Amino acid sequence: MSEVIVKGLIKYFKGKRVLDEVSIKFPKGSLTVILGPPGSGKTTLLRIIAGVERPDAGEVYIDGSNVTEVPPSKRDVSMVFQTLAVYPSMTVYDNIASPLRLRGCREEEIDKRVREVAKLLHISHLLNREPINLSGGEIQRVAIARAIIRKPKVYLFDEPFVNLDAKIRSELRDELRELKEKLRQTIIFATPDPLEALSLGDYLVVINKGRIVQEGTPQQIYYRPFNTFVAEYVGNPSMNLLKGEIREEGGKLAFIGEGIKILMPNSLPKAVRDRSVIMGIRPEDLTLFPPKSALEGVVKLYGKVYTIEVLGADTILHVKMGNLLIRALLPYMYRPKISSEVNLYVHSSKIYFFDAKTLKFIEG
Amino acid sequence: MNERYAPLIFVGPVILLLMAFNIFPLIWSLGLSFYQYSIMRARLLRFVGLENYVRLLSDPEVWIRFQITGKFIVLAVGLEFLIGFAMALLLRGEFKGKRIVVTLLLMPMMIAPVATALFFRYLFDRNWGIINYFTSKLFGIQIYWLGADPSPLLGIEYALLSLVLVDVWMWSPFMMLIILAGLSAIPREVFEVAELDRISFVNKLRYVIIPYIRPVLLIALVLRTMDAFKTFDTVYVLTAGGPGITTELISVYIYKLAFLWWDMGGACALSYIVLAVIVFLTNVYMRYLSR
Amino acid sequence: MHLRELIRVIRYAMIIITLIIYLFPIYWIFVTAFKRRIDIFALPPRWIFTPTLDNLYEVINSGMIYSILNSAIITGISVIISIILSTLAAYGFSRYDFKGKDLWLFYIISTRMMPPIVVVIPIYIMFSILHLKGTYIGLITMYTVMNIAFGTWIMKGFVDEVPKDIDEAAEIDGYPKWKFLLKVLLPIIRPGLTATIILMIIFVWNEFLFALLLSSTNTRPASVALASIRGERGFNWGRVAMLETIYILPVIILVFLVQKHLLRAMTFGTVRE
Repeated sequence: MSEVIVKGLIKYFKGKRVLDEVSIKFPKGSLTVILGPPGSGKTTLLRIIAGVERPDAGEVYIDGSNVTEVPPSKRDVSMVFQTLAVYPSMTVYDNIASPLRLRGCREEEIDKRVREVAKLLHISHLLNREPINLSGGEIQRVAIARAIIRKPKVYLFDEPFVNLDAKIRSELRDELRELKEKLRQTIIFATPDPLEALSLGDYLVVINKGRIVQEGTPQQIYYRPFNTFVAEYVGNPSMNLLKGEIREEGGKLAFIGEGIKILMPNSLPKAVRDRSVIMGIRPEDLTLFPPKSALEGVVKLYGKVYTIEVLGADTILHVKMGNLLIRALLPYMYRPKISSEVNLYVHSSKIYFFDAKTLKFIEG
Repeated sequence: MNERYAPLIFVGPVILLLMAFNIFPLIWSLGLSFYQYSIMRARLLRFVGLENYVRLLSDPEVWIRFQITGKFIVLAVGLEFLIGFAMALLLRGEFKGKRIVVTLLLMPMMIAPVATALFFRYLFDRNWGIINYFTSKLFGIQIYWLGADPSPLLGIEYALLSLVLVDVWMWSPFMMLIILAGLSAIPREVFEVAELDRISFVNKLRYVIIPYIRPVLLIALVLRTMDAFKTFDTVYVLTAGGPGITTELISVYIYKLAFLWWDMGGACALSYIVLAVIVFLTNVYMRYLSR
Repeated sequence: MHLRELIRVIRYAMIIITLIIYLFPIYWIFVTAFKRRIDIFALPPRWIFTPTLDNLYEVINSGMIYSILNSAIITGISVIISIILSTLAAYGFSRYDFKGKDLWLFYIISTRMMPPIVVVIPIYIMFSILHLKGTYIGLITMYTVMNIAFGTWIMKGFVDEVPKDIDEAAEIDGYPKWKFLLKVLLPIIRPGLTATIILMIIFVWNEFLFALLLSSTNTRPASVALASIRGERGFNWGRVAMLETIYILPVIILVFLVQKHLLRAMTFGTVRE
């Protein structure tokens, strides 16, 4: 289990800062996910940790030693790439064996390890094949096998499943989760997919435009997003954001904005009253019927059905309310008529409030 | 490995060689074009500025060679295009043995021009050549192919005509290949639509085939024209520029200027003039055909 | 459908006729090489004849065969050097950025536009001064220079196709650069490499102008030897045909070996099939 620390990393590309003073302490022995939209700097960060790119400023430490100037082969890291980077002219066996062969291990030892690792990744039957005959998922398994055979200090994964189709992606994701339990090593995994991040990561680092926006456990990121960016990004479909004010009108609290008025329960904390806020409601928290358990504090929204997306057993309902289109994720198939009126309910405890100016989460 | 110097190690040798044996000679020959120099009388090195250029450009002998070269290029490239196009249409699409046929048709291009010219000399021989055998059998005449008599084709001398024929034999397959590649790039649906609309062959040609081939054609024409200016091997072996000067293409003239009459300054100047012509023509092609 | 079948048959027939007419000269030379003198000059031309190997013996005994040897030496050495240098340079251009890189690339393509006659004159002078005229080294050097221009360009195209991630994966795995080039990159680009090598061989083997000017009677390759035959009167076509056959046979065989990549490489990658 190794400790990876990056301090003050800056990297320029064509005059712009791709990494802007990034400092992270990656927790030992766990899987840290670097989550961010394309172009946010995740890949650059990973490559700097691997050593295939040099930062313009800042340092990288592995187990306490400064490896910023050390070439990748001496850093004892391994990396799985986005683009199926296996050696096309070698068999699967030779591909997996090459890191050990390069370090001069004995053939018998190598053979044992290769078969162990192949079994772990369910590719034992492919050992004699060539990469051109394999599917994308199989190739990535080979790449992962090659990465873990060496037992390096750090495992780096750069969006490895992004080019595979959805079914294979979730298969490999599950296997990786099992694998990480067996390996118990420091793994750094970059992905733009928030669902992947939430399901795989023990620790999340959210990055945007080269800066770290928030770090924390998946729960922290999900339930206490630092600002609207994190709240919106970490969710699929993304969180509904409504801009407006919460005021008292005729003895009742209401949210007024975006061309609508929503009644709020009086139990709403003082901190969010009488100011401009952005109200965030996750689509998965909206229901068609008021929750049976608690009648206090339930907020009702209403509008007209605009469009429906049926995703197998789920439905995303797009509802027009005032100026906005609110999305609701319903865990069943629902096909109302377009333009029919509909009510949606959410418990006020599940509503997120952000300051309209700073976009930061409001505590309380 | 030191990152900064790595590219230099890889690219260095090539760049050095090119500098020494390509760029340096180019600069040298450019400089030489402003001198009167002959390797035979090395002491007689005289700076003459643009005199070589002026002299050559006003020399009727030079213009005659340009004319001959021009006739050659127009005829040769034109015929190559037509024949290549016809062959491409014939070979279009998939059929069994296509690869072998195309490879066989590549041979004329791949065989050394020297060898080709040499055996065409045999074939064109007035008395023993097999071509005259056929013409005497079919038309009852024997033609002196490598002679200076005017042929029925625009009065062009037979010798030049023979040269054109050899060049066409060698390079029509090249045109064919390029046009074939262009044809295969036409999406099948376009053909099918044309088929459904019952368009006549001529119109199919105009509206379906030609627009797609245009870019590829441009490349082919530019390449062939540039190469045609450089034609030397074939002429040297087939006719040595003769009889007289009927087949003295500009490249042959430059050669003679430099290595027969030893006017190296002039030869350099003339080669740069030819280079300028090539660049000019290339630009014209690009502008006109890629409208 | 009868009409469709008919069209197909006609088409095949036309193709075969075209092939026969077009390739006739080559066939005729092969055939002439094995004819006796009487058969060669017979009129009407003899289609059926008794073959003989006399011409082959004459070519070997008269020493004409040495020019083929020269061609082989010059071609072999220059191509080996060229391909190594070209591939290394191609890697450098493909993977690294450095000052003037685009300029150099542009220059390399533009060398194709240059009529060789422009370079030949100063080279002739230069080699005379350096006493390189008529040496193997002189010709080999010039051919190497000519080959690396298009060789680098073509190989760069092939190297570009190999994703850079493989370089990095190898770096992380621990491959030293030279081992990576030899064991990982080379096998991947092997088809392109083979095609380029063969193209280089064909180019040097067939070249004439530089050989004419820069070789001596001892070092002259077959192209010059064949060309200088033409001056003689009433000469022995049989011997000439045999020498020619030996000369063009290797090229024909090589072309058959690389059919696939030939078109792409020949038009500098602009045309693919």
